[in-house]
Amino acid sequence: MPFAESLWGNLVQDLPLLVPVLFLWIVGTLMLWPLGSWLLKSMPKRQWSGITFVVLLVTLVLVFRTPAGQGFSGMFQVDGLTTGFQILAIVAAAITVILSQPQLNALKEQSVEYYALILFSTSGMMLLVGATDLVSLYMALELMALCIYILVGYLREQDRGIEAGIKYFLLGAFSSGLLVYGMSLIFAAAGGKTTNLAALNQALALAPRNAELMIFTGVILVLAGFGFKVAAVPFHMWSPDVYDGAPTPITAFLSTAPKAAALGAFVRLFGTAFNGVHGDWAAPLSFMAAASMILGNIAALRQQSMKRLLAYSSIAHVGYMLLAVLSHDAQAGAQAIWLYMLTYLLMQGGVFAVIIYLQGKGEGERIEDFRGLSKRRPMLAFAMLVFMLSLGGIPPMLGFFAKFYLFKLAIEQGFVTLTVLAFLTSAISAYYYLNVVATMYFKEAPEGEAQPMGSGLSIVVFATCLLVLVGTCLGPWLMDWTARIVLV
Amino acid sequence: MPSYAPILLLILVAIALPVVIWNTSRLLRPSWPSAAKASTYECGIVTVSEAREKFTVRYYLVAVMFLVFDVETVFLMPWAIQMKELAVFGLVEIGIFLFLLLFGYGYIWSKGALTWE
Amino acid sequence: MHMTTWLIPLLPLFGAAIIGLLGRKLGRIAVSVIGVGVVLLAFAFTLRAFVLAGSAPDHRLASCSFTWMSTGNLSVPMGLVFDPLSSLMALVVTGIGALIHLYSVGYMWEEEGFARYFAYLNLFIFFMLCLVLGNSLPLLFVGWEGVGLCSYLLIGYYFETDYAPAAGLKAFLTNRVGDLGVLIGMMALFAHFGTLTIAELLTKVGHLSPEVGFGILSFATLMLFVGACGKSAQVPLYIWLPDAMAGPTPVSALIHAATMVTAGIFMVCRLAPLFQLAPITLSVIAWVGGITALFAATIGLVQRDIKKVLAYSTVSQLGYMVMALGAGGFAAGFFHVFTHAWFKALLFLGAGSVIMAMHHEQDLFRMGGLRAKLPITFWTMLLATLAIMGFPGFSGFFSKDEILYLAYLRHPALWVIGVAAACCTSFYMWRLMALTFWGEPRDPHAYEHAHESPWTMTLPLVILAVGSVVVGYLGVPEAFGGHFAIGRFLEPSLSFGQLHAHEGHHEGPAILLACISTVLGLGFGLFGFLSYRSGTALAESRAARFPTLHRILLNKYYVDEGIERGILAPVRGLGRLLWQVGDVIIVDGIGVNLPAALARLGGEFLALFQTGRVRNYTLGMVLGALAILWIFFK
Repeated sequence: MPFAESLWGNLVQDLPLLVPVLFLWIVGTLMLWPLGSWLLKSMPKRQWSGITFVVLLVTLVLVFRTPAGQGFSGMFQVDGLTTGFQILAIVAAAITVILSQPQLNALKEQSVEYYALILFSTSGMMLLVGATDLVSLYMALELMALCIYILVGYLREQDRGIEAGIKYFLLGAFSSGLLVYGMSLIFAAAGGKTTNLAALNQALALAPRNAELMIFTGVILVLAGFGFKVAAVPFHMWSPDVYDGAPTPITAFLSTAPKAAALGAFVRLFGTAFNGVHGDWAAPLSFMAAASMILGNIAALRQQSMKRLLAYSSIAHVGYMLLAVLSHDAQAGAQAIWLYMLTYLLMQGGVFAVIIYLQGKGEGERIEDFRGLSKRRPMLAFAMLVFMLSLGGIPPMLGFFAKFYLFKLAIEQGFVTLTVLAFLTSAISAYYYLNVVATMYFKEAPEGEAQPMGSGLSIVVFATCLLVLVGTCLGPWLMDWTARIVLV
Repeated sequence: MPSYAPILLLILVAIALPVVIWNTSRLLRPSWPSAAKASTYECGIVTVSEAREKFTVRYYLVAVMFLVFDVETVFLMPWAIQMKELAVFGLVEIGIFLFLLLFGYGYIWSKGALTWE
Repeated sequence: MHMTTWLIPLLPLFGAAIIGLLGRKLGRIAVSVIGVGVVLLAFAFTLRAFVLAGSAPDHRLASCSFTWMSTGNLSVPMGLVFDPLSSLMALVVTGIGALIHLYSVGYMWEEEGFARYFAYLNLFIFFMLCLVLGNSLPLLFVGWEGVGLCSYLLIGYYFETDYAPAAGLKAFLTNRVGDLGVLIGMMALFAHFGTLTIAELLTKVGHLSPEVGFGILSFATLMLFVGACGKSAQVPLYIWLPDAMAGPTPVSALIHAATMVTAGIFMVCRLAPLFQLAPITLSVIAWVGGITALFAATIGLVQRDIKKVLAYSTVSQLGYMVMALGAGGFAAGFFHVFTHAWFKALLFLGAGSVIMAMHHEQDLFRMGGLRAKLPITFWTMLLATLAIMGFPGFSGFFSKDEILYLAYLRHPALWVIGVAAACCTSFYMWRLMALTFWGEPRDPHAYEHAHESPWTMTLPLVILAVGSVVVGYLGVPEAFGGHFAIGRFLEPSLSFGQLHAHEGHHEGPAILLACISTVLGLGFGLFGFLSYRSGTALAESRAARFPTLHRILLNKYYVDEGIERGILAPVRGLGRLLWQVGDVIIVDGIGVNLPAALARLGGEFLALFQTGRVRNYTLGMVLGALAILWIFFK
């Protein structure tokens, strides 16, 4: 039976590429059953966060040990980009897990499912960044998104949480529809023979002239689908509401991990499959980038809720990163995004840790809650100061380093107008970031004292703050890492 | 674009047909409405409440579980037909598939989704 | 090797971090152990590097560097280099630094901010080592700025007083003027040579011939010298140093006498081949140095505050060193840096010991007769005084003599200035000694309670005293049968191919000149001693005879007042104008508040679309996609 044997052989040969993902699947499944709901039922639920953290660390090690290569009939590929963005996703998930533990404890909402869903979602991201086929890409995207829909609506007792969950699910399903429709149009325009990204690029080059509208529409719809996932204007409207309503650790997760993964896939898809039709999507994408920068930063100005502020600021940051997606050199773009996303991840992790820290008595949601933090908790306020300065891209913080690198690339690629716009809007962003700082340092503290929540948070705050603060000194080392983000 | 013409035609027909039929019957039929005639027809039984009734969430659970096992048969069917060609490989694959479903089954069972009281 | 050299600057940084962050919890003993320990360890590692560098083939040990930043054609490496010059200086910094740290334990024990003090002091050592060991001008500049910062912090250490923060600010601002010079000089060098790595720079310079007129080298070196003027307190930027005495006395000894203020001289030595090619700069340097030496020495004659006397003495001695550089005697100048570090640190520490014994009395006219009460302080300060006045056989004698001889070769007038300054030096030093240790106690109450300092303070005094006597023998000039060993030792650092032309050939007048200056110096010393031995009466009567001169000297030639009226007041006026018109109306109003208001309005507008309804959002997405399709399809 040669057919079956060849299948078998291919499977055995390709399986090593998926070892980290498989590991997550198996552990996640076992956590649900029989461990979580049968064998270890009496174990305190909060311990699952520690276990999940360890699992993620092991996955990280596995990712490092995964060999580069291509497999599953060209559906999945491990290269520098895959590894790099997988690392981002895992680190983001690990930070989320640490942040979740005290928050869920306080709300008495610990459960195995929560952590298992994070693991499954992470596995989806890990597949997504390595997907080299429209089908596997879409499947991974859905795996990632489905878990997050549930996580967003995890707090079933809170109306806001459910609303956010359903909103995200509906709009997400809708955007998935756009994405799949776009993909199908591309597939058809390319002759209906292949969904492999590299092959698509060649096929699209050979497509007949009258298929132009079809290709363009397809590309724009795919762009819309990805625009939704990374929350770029005009597909961003869900993000403030969802960020606001989701449990805070999940907001942290949402603003980092899926974004990193989607951007990684974004670069790969547009850099390889749609490389030949760069002209089709360059202008729309630069419009999206510009609109994101402007809208994100301006809308953030009037926010009173910390989470909404971060939602808008995250739209703006995505706007900056889209500059790198635009790059003609997909690999350089991926490198810039990776570096930016890494620093963004650290900053967001730290900021959300601070927010959760203050949420002990329902504080931290509003910027007002930060009043007088410098007096109450000077170290925390200092860390927040560092994060805010870094998010604003003020030297010598790490955020500046990443932004500098990104803008440098954009200039080199000739997007001068957009970069100038990025600079200007970045200046606007300083206002609302520094407003938080001013609130912490120059406003009188309210009565009462928040309960400190768990030491894991302090570790996250300390570690990320340190990295953000001295990260620039690690410049050469970071550049070395960035250079490893290779797109085969 | 001549090749799309039949589709367009089909759409037009699809829209036109109900419009035509409904209007024709409205024109032809006698119309003597009464309260009893205008009420919802429910197997000849007198209606008791609104049609938008809340069901217990367990029905949905059962429905979802049914769907899962329904899909299972969809996968099992082609494998059964091609069993000989796929040989060991197919057996392992379907084994993994069933194993996963079994895990899910174990999970919902231990979660108490199957206890009905 | 690689690791341990990096530890040299990092250890003090580490100490500063620990003490700064945990100081209050650690307690005084732990702070002392860490504070002194890291510097001692750094000293040990420096010693090791010194020995290894000495045995290296080119007397040079470059610690593997990495690229710090790279933009355009500018690439700044970060690395340490140990050559004779830098390793000797690093030894001084860590060695004398360690002694002064130890001394500070005793001196600062009662102070409130004990930990803060040690954190700053350790940080200072870190930056000083960056400055000294850095292999590129930017790294040197980082150290340069860093020591300025630490100096500012330490001058303002007693921040609850009025004068200390003001003095710190003055020091900082005055130094900024010089720093600007350094920056401009660096940029000029980079623009011309395309590199800022010191070794590369000097290699490139080595192929040039001396400039005949005023060119890029003259410009760059002059600008760098402006920086040196600021840091090393030369006319006209010396004004901050006397005020800097507001800081704790050990700080005055370490930063404002032994190490930081010599940074300017160190920088010139570091770039010696560059300066050698710029004769115009060299003559400017020589005259500035000479004028500073004499000018400060005359002010020192009449000051009543013991630390002020020493401060002006430091300015004067720095003038000497600078004069030596201007005369082309880089080795001689640096030799004086080296010897001066020992005896001036000792003098300051001795003064600190006296001040502490007198319960924070700094007025010389209220001291007296302390010889018996403070024997160790007295004897060590006596040795230091002999060293600074150039008593034959003491360290100052050799280094000063070498400088005077070079000045003579440069221009006889410089020699005359130098000798005059030396005479003043002898006079005010013996005046200080006589007023402090001889005569009747003029403040009986304080005298009663005066007592010798603890061992942590006297031990550094003794070690420094030994150094003050013997280090001169490292560089006995050829005129006295020596080989000027230190000059030969430093040669690899100071020259690239072209040897210093003047040094080394001591002919006939050398011994004669030395005799004249020594005899004059001794005479003036004796004069000063006799005038003040029995009290202040004689001095007061003499002051009454020359009231104008005395007033001018006492008020330091009215330089501060002149600067206040001539520069600061107009600048303040301009500042006020810019503030009220330029800032409040144009920048704040039109430049900042207007766009801010617009942006906020924009935010309000955008919020209208954030309805929270899924159907609106969906519509938004669809319309967005359609708009993109519509707009961008060609």
